[in-house]
Amino acid sequence: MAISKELIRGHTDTIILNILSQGDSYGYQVSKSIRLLSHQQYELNEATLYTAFRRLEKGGAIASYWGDETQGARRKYYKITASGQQQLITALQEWEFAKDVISQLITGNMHEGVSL
Amino acid sequence: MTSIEMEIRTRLDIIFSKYTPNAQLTEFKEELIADLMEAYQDFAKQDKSHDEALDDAFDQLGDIDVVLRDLSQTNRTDEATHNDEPKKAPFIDISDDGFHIGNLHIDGQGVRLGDDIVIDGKHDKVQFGDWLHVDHDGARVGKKYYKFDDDTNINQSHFDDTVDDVKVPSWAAAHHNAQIPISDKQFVFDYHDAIVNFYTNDKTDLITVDEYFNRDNARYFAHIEENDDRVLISQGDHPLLFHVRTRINIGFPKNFDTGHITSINHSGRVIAQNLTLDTFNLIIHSGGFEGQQIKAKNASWEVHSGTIKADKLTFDKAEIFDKSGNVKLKNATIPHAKISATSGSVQVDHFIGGGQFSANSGFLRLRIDELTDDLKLHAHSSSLRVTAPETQHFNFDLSSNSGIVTVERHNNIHYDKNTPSYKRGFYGTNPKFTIDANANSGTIKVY
Repeated sequence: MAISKELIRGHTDTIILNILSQGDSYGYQVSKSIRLLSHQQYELNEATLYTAFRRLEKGGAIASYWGDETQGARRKYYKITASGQQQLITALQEWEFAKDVISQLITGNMHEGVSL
Repeated sequence: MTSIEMEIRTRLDIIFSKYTPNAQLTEFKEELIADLMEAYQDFAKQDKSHDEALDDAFDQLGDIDVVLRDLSQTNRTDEATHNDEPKKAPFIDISDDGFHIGNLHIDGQGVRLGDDIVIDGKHDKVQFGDWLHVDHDGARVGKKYYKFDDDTNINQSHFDDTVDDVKVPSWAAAHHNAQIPISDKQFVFDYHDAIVNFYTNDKTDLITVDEYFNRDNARYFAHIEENDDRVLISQGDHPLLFHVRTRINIGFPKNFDTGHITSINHSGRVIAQNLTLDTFNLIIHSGGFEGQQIKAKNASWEVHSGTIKADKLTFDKAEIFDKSGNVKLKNATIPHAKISATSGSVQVDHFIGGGQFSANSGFLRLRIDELTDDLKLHAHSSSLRVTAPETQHFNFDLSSNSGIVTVERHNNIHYDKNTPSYKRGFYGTNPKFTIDANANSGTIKVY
């Protein structure tokens, strides 16, 4: 079973913010972290990832800078900003609240013990 | 600059060439080069050849055109705001750029009527107002969303983490247990709405059925019926209004190699591990299948909507069909295989055997360790890529109706026919089996 894109779509930004809140990172490394964190159950392709980077950068939640690699290609690193940290905290609170309500809504019974 | 970096740059240049260069695109290209070089290093560890690793690295980009178009357009709107007098477009305009009447636009991108009706040929996207969206990811009609599953990697540690064990689920409020003596009858497990888990129990001649429910009502327990040639285990009553969470663990004795098992599941996934059977048939209407370490003479799997993922399979004969979902197999030994997917992709790594493989709209990717028979491969509208065995010699007959055929081997190769879309010949000196591949509109690559 794969996690539905529809289910996870609204959380893409929060996922990225969570990863960047643990240290600056670059595109390929973020996509690897997502695979790792989800125990290989979820992956974002580069196109989706960079669309989200651009959206977050425009909104001021993340900023980017070029690394100073001496070998190979230069890497662009992304870092979370103070406003991004705040956005992450808010998103986590929203999620904590929503997940219990949604879980009750989709598994709860109206009349415990009554079956049809 | 390394030769890998050169090759990545060259390929990216081709992708980027469709867009007018600007600073943002140039920066983005630099970012992608670093990512692709790292992805290449990762793939090089599992792929046999340089070209394969490079193709795999580029495959994981996804639909990068969306980002490129966005980046190139950002620039254009910036320019437009700098320009104080925007040019007013004529009502009717026919030029090399396309055909425009009012807000109807027909051009290289596709057809647009205002912002509401869009047929985007370039990105395979169709949109009618708010109520119909179809693209690579899925289709949304009104409030219903149909996902086109397209994740592309089989992950090494997948099974270690996710195959559920046979513990009592924490939510269980009721437990029903049944034991059925083994025989050479056909055992049919018919479930409507449950997660079904097949495993090997510690019995010598008993099949164990453990059912767990989150509500306690004996009417939910399975019925068992037996006649001369089969034993039917079917799910008990099933309330229509409430969802009853149901988990079924079915244990077979070790090495039940005379066992004829059929599992029918209407909704819910099926998991199977460490099984040795004679026949293992599966029909799943809605839900995926995950399997590990399965041995059988015959297997016939039919999944209508869901992904098939399996590792360490040994079958004499297997027919695997997935209507809407991907098929991902690893370490599969199947001398007589028939594997097809209608709308998902087919990916098989470390394959030993022969047979037929086809994918109608997703890609077909095979990594073959050894051929024991001929292979017949077909991809309708996507690409077909095959890693032939390294040391084994083989014949090939590869044709694509409108794509390109390439064979990435340069020594010991002999061509009878060699055109861009058709290649026939053999590799090595003593070929025994033939790789026959046909693609309708995609490319074919043999490594």
